[in-house]
Amino acid sequence: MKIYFDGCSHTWGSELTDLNSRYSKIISNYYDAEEYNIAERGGSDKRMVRNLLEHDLTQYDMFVIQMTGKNRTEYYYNGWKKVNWNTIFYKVDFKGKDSVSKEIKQTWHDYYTLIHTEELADSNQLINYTVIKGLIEHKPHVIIGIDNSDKLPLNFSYNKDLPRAKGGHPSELGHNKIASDIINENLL
Amino acid sequence: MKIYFDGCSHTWGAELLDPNKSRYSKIVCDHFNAEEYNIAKRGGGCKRVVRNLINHDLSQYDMFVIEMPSKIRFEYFSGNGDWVGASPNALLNKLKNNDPVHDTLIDYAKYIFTEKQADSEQLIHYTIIRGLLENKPHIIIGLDLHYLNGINISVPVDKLYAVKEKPKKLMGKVLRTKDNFIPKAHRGHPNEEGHEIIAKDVISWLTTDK
Repeated sequence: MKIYFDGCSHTWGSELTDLNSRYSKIISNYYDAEEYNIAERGGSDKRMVRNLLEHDLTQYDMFVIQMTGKNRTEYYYNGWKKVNWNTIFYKVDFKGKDSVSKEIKQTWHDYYTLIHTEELADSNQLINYTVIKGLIEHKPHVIIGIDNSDKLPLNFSYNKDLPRAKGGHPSELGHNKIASDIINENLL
Repeated sequence: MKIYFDGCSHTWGAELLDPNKSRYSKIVCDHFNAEEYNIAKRGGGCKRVVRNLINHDLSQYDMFVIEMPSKIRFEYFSGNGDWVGASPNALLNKLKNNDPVHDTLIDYAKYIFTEKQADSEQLIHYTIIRGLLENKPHIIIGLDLHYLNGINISVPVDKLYAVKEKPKKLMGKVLRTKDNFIPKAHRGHPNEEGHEIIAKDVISWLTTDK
């Protein structure tokens, strides 16, 4: 048995002292299944859609997709690169170790300040959700949100009540709570 | 009976003398004695087609004909409260004019938008369209007629009208080739004869058991 997990840093297990305590591992252990967790820090919904399209989904028995911030996206420049509009500091965050040219940095900044809107972000998020839902519709699955995804009809949407670490990611307790909620769905 | 059509200028009927009478959607609807619901838009992109499907009650329509627009188009929501389409190919031929939005779009086309991104997004849009229409009579077509821009349809549509080589001419008329080429008007949209051919193919597809 193999379980497919994708999401952002929350599902990757940021701020945990040991990735063995992330919810994907707890769920996989419960079902005695192989954990296939391809979440990435800074990952976007679009990356999750692309991943689903690039995988042979028949190889997995269950899917757990964690939708992330709607202002995130990705672009292709010598590989897929992550980009996020930081609404708190009003700047563009580039994830990863690759250097980003000043033209690309400036263009993304201008794009987010002049082109990107709440309507565009909502529309993209709904499209990404719809395609994810469609791809895994006939398979055991849950789609969850850990923040800012409350407009979508998700199975679980966690807000401030989820136990979190200092940086805002779920703590060990938080991961236990997510795992417990998903296991209680009795999907397998 | 009501038939839903969406796409770009090809489905809108650009370059036809009277789009409301001779575009393929009208011919198809006349054949089925159905109400024509054609919301195609000149310059529209694949994302617009997806957005429209999500925003409609699809149970109101008996058949769906979707024409995938060029993969290189994208859209954004303008300050005027409208969705606006943009094409990187067209933007790259324009000069900056100190309009911040216009200039940013040119930079976006120049530094960010790539063929790889266009392919990825068109595949996402195609997948969602196919999923939304899965259990309904439908056809997805593609008209890749502007060969000079490269391949604009990179997904497995049901019927692709594509030019894979420079069209040959005889006595000034463009010849139909083996590449599903259809007769075109001056600026590259299907002409009246082209629309008749598309309509015939669509009717055949929708009346054949799959």
